Amino acid sequence: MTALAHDWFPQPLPDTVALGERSWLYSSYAFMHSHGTVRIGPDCGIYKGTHFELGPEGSVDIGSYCTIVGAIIRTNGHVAIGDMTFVAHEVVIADDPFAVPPRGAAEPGAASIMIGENAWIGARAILLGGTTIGDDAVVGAGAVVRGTVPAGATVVGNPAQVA
Amino acid sequence: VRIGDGAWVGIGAIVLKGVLVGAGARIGAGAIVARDVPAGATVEGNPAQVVTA
Repeated sequence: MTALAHDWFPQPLPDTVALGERSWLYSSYAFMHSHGTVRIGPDCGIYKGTHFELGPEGSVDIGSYCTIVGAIIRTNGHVAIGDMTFVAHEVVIADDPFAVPPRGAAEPGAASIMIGENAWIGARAILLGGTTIGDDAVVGAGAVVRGTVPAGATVVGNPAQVA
Repeated sequence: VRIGDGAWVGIGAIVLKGVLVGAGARIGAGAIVARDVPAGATVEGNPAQVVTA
């Protein structure tokens, strides 16, 4: 049982959560609605407003030196975030049909969402199931991304297109 | 704004004034919906447009 020294929420971190050395997490409240596995690397900052809403099969892997400033991560699949990546305010990373209606009955529910290293996800962007963001890519504020963003590219808009 | 039975509105979507969303329609995450959505249709994007699966 790990409890955060500064935590206002009266619960320890769930056993399924691993927080790396020197990483800051605002509260165990981030996992209030999580039933999955979360691994956060060393030297990360996970700030107020970030919520992990994972199903029992869901897993999230966050690298080292990442900053997440209040994102909602909702999946029953896998989400991976590479080292040095920055995720801004109110970003949604979700493949769950409760948050993100599938296009049709044929579309699979859970699909992995992968974010590379040193990527920058702008405020209020939405990353949908099956999305892959390459290393050093930039996703503009409010962009809605479905699919692959090449390494080093900048995408903006809804649907997101290379700028 | 009227949203029909069994419709599905994604996270962060905005449905604007006077829009009629048909029964069973799906509105994608972050979509900005300015026009009526037919029953059973899926719309995405800004401005929201009908997509097929």
